[in-house]
Amino acid sequence: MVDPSLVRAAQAGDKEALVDLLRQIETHVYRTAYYVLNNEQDALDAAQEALIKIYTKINTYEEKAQFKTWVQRIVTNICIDKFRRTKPTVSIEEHDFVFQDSKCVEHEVLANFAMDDIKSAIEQLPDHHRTVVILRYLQDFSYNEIAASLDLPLNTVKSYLFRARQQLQQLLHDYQKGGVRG
Amino acid sequence: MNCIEVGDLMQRKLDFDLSEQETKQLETHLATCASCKMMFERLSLLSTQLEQLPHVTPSISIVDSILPKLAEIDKLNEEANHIIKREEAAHSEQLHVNNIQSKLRKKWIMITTSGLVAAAALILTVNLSNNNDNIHTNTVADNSSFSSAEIFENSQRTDAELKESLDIMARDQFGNAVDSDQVMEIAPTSKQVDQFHVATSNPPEESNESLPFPSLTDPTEQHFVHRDVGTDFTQNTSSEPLPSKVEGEEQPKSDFLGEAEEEFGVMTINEPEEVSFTSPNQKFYLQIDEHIITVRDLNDDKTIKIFEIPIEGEVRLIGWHELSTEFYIEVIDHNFQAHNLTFGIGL
Repeated sequence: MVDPSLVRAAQAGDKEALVDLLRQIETHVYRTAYYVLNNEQDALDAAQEALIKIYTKINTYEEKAQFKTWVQRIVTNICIDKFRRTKPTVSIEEHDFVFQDSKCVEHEVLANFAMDDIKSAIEQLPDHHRTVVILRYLQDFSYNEIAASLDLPLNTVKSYLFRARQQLQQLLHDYQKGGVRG
Repeated sequence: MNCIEVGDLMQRKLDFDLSEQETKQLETHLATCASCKMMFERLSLLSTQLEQLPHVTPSISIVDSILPKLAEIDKLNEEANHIIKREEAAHSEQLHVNNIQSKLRKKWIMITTSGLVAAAALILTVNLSNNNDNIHTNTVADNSSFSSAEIFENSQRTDAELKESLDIMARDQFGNAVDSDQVMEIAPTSKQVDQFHVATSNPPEESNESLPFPSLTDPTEQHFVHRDVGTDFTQNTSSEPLPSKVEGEEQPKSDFLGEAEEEFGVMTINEPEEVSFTSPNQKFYLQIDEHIITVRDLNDDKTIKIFEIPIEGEVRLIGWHELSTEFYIEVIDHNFQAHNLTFGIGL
């Protein structure tokens, strides 16, 4: 959670505050870019561009919106508009995954196995479906926050999310049954 | 509640969006519907796996990687701000200058308006002054040369008159032939004299050229004879009262008139050193010394009459009456006013 006073200081021209602000949000920006683009280098480029844009456009932010949704709108738009067409070149397995529940080795192996299926399944989702899922599960956004980030109606967000999960469940079910992967 | 409606509850359940009542409705349905229960288990597993997606972190500090870029942006922004400030300052200064220029323009218009009046007055003054200068110049020119000037023509002369006048010998008051090469034309300076041909005095010599005589058109004027030539012409104007006729003495006999020659239609004469003018009857001659005219007997040089010209100015002899009873003098005063005077011999 970004301190609103830090945002105000950055908007007031405090360059150090602005840089501190960027440091606090850079991981969130990169994570969204990474899952949308499924590529580390593209994610870094997109995150850099997003952070520079935030740096230069900080004065356009209005407090009536949440700062985190404003940031995610910037990064998702950059990813969708500029990087979505590029083929992923870096595997998601290059990163050190942090599992929320890694006590059971068997579950961890099953989870890792599932992560490849999930990555492949997510990649096959339409852009907005994929983005909704990412904001829901990687940014822990609510329906309203997703709607605010993507500038979509609330029911549309629900619809996208429900469809995305249904598609992913179907894809993973097919994978578990030995179906063809995308 | 059917399976489709339960499907929405299952999705919302994954997002923690169900109320207690909706949760009970879902649990009731799942307890009685095996397919929905299986689907909910799959979606719950999927959601759990999605929640367990690795929270990847960048391998480098993205902010540190863009700090040079941010510094460059700051520099460009500062330069842009300076440019904007300069432009604003220039614009402000320009506005100030425009304001001043506007004020000056208004002042200029006011000044010009009054200045135009003043300039018009000045131009008028200068023109008047120039006219005066011209007049003055003409006056000087006339004064400097009028002692030997002849008034010959006005500007409205016809070619016939010019041709006719070629046959008339021009002479100054002292009988010198006039050389047209030395004639200069000046502007008219009086009502009476429209245009002058002013000739300077020359030593007595023969001249092959002549100046035209004035075209005298007033038939009411009395006839007189130009000395030596004997051509009739009329007096132009007479602004001065004629002097009273003087009782004359015996007619002098002229014996020193120069020899007149005619060459190329122009009469020339060899004058004696002392200028005098002989009457047509060869009895008198005139001696003009500034404003004193002495009528002498041509034979014995006795003074017959002495006239004092009442007007100051350049004096020249116009001619004699054909009966030698009077002669005519023209005086150009300092205002270039021509005055024709008639002097009666009284004999």
